[in-house]
Amino acid sequence: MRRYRLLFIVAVLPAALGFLIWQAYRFGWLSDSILYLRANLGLLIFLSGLLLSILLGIGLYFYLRFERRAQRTSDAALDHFSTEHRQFLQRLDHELKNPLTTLQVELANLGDEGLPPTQPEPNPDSSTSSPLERIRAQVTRLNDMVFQLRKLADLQTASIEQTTVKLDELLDELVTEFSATKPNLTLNVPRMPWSLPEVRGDIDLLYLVLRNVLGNAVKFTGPNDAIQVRAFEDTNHIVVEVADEGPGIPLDELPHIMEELYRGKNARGLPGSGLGLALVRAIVERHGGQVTIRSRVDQGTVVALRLPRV
Amino acid sequence: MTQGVRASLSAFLTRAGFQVEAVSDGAQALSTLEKSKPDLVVMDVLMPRLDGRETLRRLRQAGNLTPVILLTQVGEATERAMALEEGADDYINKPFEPHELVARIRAVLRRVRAGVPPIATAWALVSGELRLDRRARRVTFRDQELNLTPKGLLLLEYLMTHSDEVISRERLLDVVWGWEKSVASRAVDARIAELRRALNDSADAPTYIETSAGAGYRFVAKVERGA
Repeated sequence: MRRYRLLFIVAVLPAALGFLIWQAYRFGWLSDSILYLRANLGLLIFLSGLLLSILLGIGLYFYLRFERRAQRTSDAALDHFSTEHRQFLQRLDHELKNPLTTLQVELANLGDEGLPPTQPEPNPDSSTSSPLERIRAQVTRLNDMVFQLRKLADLQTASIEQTTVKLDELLDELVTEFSATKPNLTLNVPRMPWSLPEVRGDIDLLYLVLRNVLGNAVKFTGPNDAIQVRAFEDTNHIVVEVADEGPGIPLDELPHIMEELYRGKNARGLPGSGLGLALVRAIVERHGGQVTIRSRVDQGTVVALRLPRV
Repeated sequence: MTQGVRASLSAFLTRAGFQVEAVSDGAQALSTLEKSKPDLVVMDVLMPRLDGRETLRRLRQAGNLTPVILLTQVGEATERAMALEEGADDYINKPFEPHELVARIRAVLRRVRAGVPPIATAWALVSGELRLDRRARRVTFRDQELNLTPKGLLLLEYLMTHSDEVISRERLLDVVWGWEKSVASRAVDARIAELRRALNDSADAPTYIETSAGAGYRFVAKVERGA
């Protein structure tokens, strides 16, 4: 603010100086003389225009310089923050790995009595499972979380494969898969007069994004709540929306819902790592897109993904 | 590796029927290797004093071809490619399923023939009319260059360096993508389809890549070290 005040003082300075000199002539401190100026009107207009342009140019130059410097400072701050954040994720992942490896190996040492390694995860709450099985289930969960953390950290730096991806085909595939357990699931993708344009990116990562978002919708809605998946073009983007009639997300939770390890109140009783949406956001942003979530409590949620089209 | 991992892994591998000798860092590993001549070394990339990479490099420079399995830290493709380039016979990402490590050890021991450098250290892999140039990241088939995606190429490379071995989808996924189980079957199957298309290979009567029902994939053609 002090900077601005200084600038205003500088701006008023010529007028003040002029006023002083005028007064000096008026009160006879200086001997006044009259300047007769003769110019053709065209030239005069040109000269005043030139003067104005020079003044504007100078003003603009300083304004832009100032603006750029401010931008740089905030970029650097942001960069610093995201680097630190990434390093934190990497360190966390790193430090968790060794203890987890030990745990897994020791579990294998203890429990070779009849539990093959590929057996499906035993239900951790079931009272029939043995303590060993319950520990194993929790270690598996921890393991998954470390996996996801690594993904998140990797995603910031990993190179993104660039192939053309037909989102409508991926959506078809996913909707078919999920409709087996969710009859109220509909897909609305334009096929007329042309089908959905392609996007450019990593097909496996994009599939993962769609799967996570759709999986969330399925997880957080009741058996009879409807889910609609729709995709459309919006000038240079493809928008994919997953809309559900689930319980919705309270307003105060919305800003945090995509943060790592954040879990909403409604989510606490359900399985999940709290990393799914963070991953979705990281992937979509690496593809030059955006994720937005609109939600109303007791009415439902819309997750919208915007990806640049080919 | 850290003391905890070392102790539990020693116990586990002993139970699995191996004779185990554990040391705490790369320098010790080198001197112990001289003396006790093991059949195989399992080595963490992160070790005090001399790290796994450097230890491996020195070992290979000294002409020692003892098979090495590296326990790697990061899931990135470059990191994994590096492990193979430096002459590791295989690698596994931490944290890992211990039984998977035993399976890896057995597979590597099966592949090893005395005095012959492992195929994993070859710069070029040749199988019939198929040739994979690992340094140039180029694949030619019937003298024509194939246009594969980077992941497709990585997958082919792994299959070829582990020929005649059934490799599970999860394992392939871990190798090529570094993570994510939920997309496993889809992602791997799509890339296998890409490779088959490029190689003109059929799933029913495969020349190169065979589907092992319910288990994974296997590169069935013979792979040789290329010039």
